[in-house]
Amino acid sequence: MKKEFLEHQLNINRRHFLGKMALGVGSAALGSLLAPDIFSGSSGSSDDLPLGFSHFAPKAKRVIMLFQNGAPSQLESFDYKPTLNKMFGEDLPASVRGDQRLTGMTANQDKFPLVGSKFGFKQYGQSGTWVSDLFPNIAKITDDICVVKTMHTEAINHDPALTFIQTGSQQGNRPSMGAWMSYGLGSENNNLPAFCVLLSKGRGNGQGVYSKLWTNGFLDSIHQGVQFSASEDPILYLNNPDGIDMQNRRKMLDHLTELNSEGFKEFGDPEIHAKIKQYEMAYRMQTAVPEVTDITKEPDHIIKMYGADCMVPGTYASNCLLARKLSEAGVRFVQLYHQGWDQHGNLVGEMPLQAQDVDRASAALISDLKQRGLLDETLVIWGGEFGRTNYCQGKLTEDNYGRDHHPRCYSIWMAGGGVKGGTSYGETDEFGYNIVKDPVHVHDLQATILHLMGMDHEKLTYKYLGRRFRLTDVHGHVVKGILA
Amino acid sequence: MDRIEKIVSNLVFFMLCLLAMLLAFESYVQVPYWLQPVGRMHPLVLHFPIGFVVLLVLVNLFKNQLDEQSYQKVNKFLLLLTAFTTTLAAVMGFFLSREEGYSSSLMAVHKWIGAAVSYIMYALILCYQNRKVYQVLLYTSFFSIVVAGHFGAGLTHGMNFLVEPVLQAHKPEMDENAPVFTAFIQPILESKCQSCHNADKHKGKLDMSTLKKLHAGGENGPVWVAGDTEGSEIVRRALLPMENEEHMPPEGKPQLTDLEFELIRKWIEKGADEVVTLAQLSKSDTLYTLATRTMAKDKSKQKPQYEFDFAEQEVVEALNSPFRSVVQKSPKSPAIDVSVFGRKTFQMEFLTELKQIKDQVVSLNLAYLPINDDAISFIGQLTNLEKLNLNFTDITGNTLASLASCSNLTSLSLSGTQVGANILPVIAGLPALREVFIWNTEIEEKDINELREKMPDVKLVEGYQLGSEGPLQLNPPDLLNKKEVIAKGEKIELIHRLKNVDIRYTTDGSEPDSLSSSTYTGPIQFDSFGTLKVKSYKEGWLSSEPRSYTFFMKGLEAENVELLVPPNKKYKGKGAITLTDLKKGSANDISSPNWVGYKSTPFTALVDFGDNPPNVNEVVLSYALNMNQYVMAPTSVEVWGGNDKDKLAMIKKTTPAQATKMGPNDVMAEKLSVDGSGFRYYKVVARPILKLPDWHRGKGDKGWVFVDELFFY
Repeated sequence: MKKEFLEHQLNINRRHFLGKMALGVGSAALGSLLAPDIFSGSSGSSDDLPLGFSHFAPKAKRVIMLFQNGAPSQLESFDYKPTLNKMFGEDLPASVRGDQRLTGMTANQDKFPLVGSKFGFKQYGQSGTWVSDLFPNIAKITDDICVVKTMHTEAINHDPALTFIQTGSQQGNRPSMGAWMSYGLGSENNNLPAFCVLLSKGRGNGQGVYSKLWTNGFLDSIHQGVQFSASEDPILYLNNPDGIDMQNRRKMLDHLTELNSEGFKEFGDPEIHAKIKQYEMAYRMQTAVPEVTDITKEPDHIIKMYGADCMVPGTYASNCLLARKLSEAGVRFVQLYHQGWDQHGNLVGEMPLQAQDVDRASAALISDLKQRGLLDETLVIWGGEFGRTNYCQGKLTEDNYGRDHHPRCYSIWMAGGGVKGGTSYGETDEFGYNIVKDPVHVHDLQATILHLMGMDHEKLTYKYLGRRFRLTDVHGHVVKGILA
Repeated sequence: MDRIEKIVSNLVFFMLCLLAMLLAFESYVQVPYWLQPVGRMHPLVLHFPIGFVVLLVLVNLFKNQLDEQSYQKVNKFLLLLTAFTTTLAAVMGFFLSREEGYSSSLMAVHKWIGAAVSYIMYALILCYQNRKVYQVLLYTSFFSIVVAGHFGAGLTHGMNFLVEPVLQAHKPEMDENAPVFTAFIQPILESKCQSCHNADKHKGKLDMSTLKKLHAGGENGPVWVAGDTEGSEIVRRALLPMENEEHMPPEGKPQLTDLEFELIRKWIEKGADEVVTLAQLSKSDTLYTLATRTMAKDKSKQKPQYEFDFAEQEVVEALNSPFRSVVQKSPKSPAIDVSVFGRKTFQMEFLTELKQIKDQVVSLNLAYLPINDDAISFIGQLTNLEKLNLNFTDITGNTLASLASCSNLTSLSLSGTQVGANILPVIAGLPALREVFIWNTEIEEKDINELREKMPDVKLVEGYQLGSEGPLQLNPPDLLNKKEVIAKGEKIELIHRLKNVDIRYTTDGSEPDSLSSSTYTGPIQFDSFGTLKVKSYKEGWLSSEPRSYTFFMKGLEAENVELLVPPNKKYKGKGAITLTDLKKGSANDISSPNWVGYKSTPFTALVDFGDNPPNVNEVVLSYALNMNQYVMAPTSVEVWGGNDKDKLAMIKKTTPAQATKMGPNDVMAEKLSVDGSGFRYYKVVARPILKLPDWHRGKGDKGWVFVDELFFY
C-alpha cells in the first residue's frame, strides 16, 4: 500500500516513466521530420505555450453572448425579403427548397405557402442596414453592428442546434464555448468565475435551456459556466450562514487548508490543491460578487437606457445590465439566454412581445459599453440557433402565420471588439431560403470568435480519449470579411 | 568517356555557332510558336550553369586535396556539363528574349553577358591544359555569370527587388497634401503592376513607371479613360475572372485587394485627376473614405513594434494575484495589460508594485477602484501606456497633468468621475490621444465644444441616450409573496424597484387608475380568494400595464385525494397531490408539474374528508387558459357529493364563460357554492371542449383542460 501512495506522490512510476520516455523520444524524432519548425522556439507553435496566453494579440478581451433561444425569425428582423410579400400564399418552388429535410412538424404539409413579414422594414444609419420595425432601438445602433445574414447550421431541431452552436458538436459531451475561453485564456479577474450564465424567459413559445449548454465537458470543472439565479441573490449559497462572520469564515478556511495540505502530503492528489483553490476563490467571491452584482446603485439615466425592467431580477434587461457589470469586472464570457423565440404559430402575436423584451436592452448594452470605452475590447453577439422558414407552418391567414425551423440561413449581429461595425455580411436569395453569397457556418462563427479573442481555433485543443479536440472539430474558417 | 566527351563538345560547338548566327541576325529572327516553350524553360535551366560554375571554382580551389587523376576526371566532367548547360541556357534565353516585352537596355546587358559566358566556357574546354589561362578564364566566367544572373533576376522581379524591404521602411508617410495619385494610386501600381510593366520590361508595350509613360499607354491603348471606369483597360482586366488570359495582374502574381481596386476605380470615376489632394476632397466623398481607410491600414501596419524589452517571466508571475491580472499581450509581444479589481479589497501597493514592469505596461484598467488624485503621479511613470481606464474612480482631475509623460496614450476613460474643465489642458497636451470618455462627468457642454474645435481629431465620447421619443413605460409592481395561495391572516406585499414609484391597486377586478384607486402603503390583507390588480406610476414615466394576481386562501384539508380518470400521459403533474400541494402553476408553462392536463376525457377527482367531515360552503377549481396551446376553459364543472363513494349525487353544475376570440394566457378560477353540505366525499368533474370554435386556428380539434389546484372552503 505504501508503494502505491509513493507512486501517487510522484505522480508517476518506473513503467510510466520508461513508457513516456520511449514514446517521447520517438515522437520528438518523428515530429522534427514532419514539422521541422517544431523545435524552433520562435516559430509560434502554440502547443507548448502555457495556457492563459493569447496566441496572438487579441482584438477583444471579453465576450457577451446574447443568445436568443428558440430561433428568432430572420425574416421579421434583419433579412428583408419583399418578394415574399408579393408572393403571399404561393407555394414555395421545389427548385428553391431542393432536398432540404423538414421537421416532423411540417413534413406532412401538402403546401408550403410563402409569407412575407407582417412588419415593415426600413434602412438605418450611414450603413443603410435593413431592420424591421420590431427593433426600433437596435435600428439606432446599426452603425456599430455587423449583421451577418448568412449564418447556417446542420441541425433542424432546438436541442442539437443549440448544443452545436455552443459546443461545436450536436451531441452534448463537449465543452461549451465559454468553457473553452476560460480554458484557453483563463480568468481576467480571479475573484469571479470566468464563465457566467444568465437566464431569462420571454412571453413567446419557449424552448428549454439546460446545463449541458454551459458544461465544461472533458475540461477541468473550474471552466464550467456558473449559472446565476434570477433573484436578488444571483449566486446561491454565497452568504455566510447565520452566526458566522467573515473572520470566522477566514479562520475556518485556514484550518481547513491545513488539514487539506496534510492530506496532500499523504496522497499527493493534485485535486486536493484544486479544492483548496476553489475554497479560496469562493471566499473572495463573497466580497467580489455583491460588489459587482448590486444594480440598485445604477443611476437613473442608466435605468432609462435599459428600460424599467432592468431593475427586476431575472428579466432580459436586468441580465443585460448585469452582463455589462460582470464584463466590466473582467468576466471572460457572459452568456445570456432569452427564451421564447419559437414561433411555430401566432408569430404576429408573439414576436412583438419578444422583440419588446430584448430590443431596448440589447441596444442599451452596446451604447453603455461604448460610453465607458469598453466596446472595442468586448465582443457582443446577438442571435439564435437557426432561422425560420419562409413559408407558413399550419394555417396561413391574412393576419397571422407561423414559421418552422430553417437551418439553411439566418441572421445574427455582432458588435465591438474587432468587428467591422455598420456593415452587413452575406446575401440570401430573394426567397430568403438559400445563401447566394458568403456563407458563414456555425464553425466559422466559432473560429471567428476565437480569432477575435486572440486564439487560433486550430491550436486551442485538449487531448481526451486519445485525440485532440477543438471547439471547431476539424472545420471552420475565420470570416475575414467581418473583421475591422 | 572519350566518345561522350567528343559528342558533348561538338554539341556545344554547334550550339555556339547557332547562337552566333542568331545574335548576328537578331532583327530577322522570328521564333515560331512551337519553339516558345523551349525559350520559356530558360528560367529553369539557368540555375544549372550557376551551380556548376561555383562547383568548378571550388574544385579548382581544393585541387591540392585531390590526387591528380581524380581531379582531372572530375574537373573535365564538370567542365563539359557547365559548358553544355550554359550554352543551352543562352540559346533558350535568346528565344525568350524574342517574345514581346523584353526590349530594354537591361535586357541587352543580360543577353550579351550571358552569351559571353557561353563562349568563355567553350574556351575553357579548349585551353584546358594551359593552367594560367584556365585560371583567368574560370574566374572571369564566375564573375560574369553572377552579373548576368543579377540582371536576369532584375528583369523578372524588378531591379530594386533585393533592397525593397529596406526602402519600404523609409517610405514617406501618406500625406493629406500630396496628390491622391502619387500618395495612393501610384504605390498600388508600383507594388502590383510594375514588376512586368516597367522601364526595362514592358509587357504589352506598357510601361507604368511614370505618369508620362502611363499616358502613352500600351499596345491595347491607354490604361484608363478619365471618368469612364468601364472603358478603362485597368478596371476591365481586373474584373475579368482569374481563368481569363487577359486578367491582370496575371494568375500567380499578387492580386489587387478589394480596397486597392475600389480606390483605383473611384479615382478614375472621379475623373482621374492627377493633381487633386486628399485635403481638397469633400469628407463625404467615397474616394476620401477609401483613401483614409488605406491610410489607417498603412498606419496599423507600421504600428507598435515595441522597442522595450520583455519583462522577466518570474516578475510577471509574481505580480499576478487574485486582485490583479498582469497579462502579456501575446508570446511575441513584450507589451503587458494590467487590470486591478475589487473596490473593497484594494490597496495602494496593488498599483505601486507595477513599478517593476513600468516600461511594459501599455494598458491599465483601474475602473471602480478607490484611487484618488495621488495615484496619478505614479501612473505618469508608466511612460509607454496606451490605454488608461479610470472610470468611476475617486479622482478629480487636479493632478491629471502628471500624465503628460505618457506620450503614447491614445485612449483615456474618465467616465463617472468628478473631473471637470480642469482636465482640458491635459487632454490638449497629450499628443497621441485619440479618444477620451467623459460621459457622466462634471465637464460642461461649452468646454467640450471648445475642445472639439481645438482638437478635431480627438474623439470625445459624452455618452449615448437611446430613444428621445418621449417618456418610457414603467414596469408593473412585483409581488413579494412567493405563493399565490395564502394562509388566513397572511399579508400581501408589493414592491417596485425604482425609487419614488406610486403603486395603485384595486381588489374588485376593475383597472386601477391614479386618482380613485387605493395607493399601496404597506402590506394588504385579503379575506377570501380574489383578484388584486396593480399598476405603477412615476413622474416622467408612462404608467405601467396593469398586472393582476389571483389569490387563493388556503382551504379545508382533505384526508385523501385521488384522480378517478388518469390525466394525459404527457401532463401527469405529480398525480393527485398536484391538486392540494398549494403550488400554483403558470399559464405560460403548462408542462410544469404543477398542472394535470386532460384531452378527450374529463378531469375527475375524488376528495375524501374522512370520518368527521367539515361543512363545505364553496368549491374552487383553478384552471389554465393558454389558447395558443389549445388549453381552454372547461365546458362544464360539476360537484358531486355523498357519504358513500359509489353513490354520489350531483350537487352543483356550472358552465364557465367561453372565450370568443384569442386572448392572453391566464390562470382562472371557477367558484361553485355548495351551501354548507357536510359530506365525506366530493367528486369534482371538469369537461374539456370537444370541438374548438371556428375562430380558433385548430377549429374542430379537441381542446384541453389543465387544473392545478382544488380548494374547499
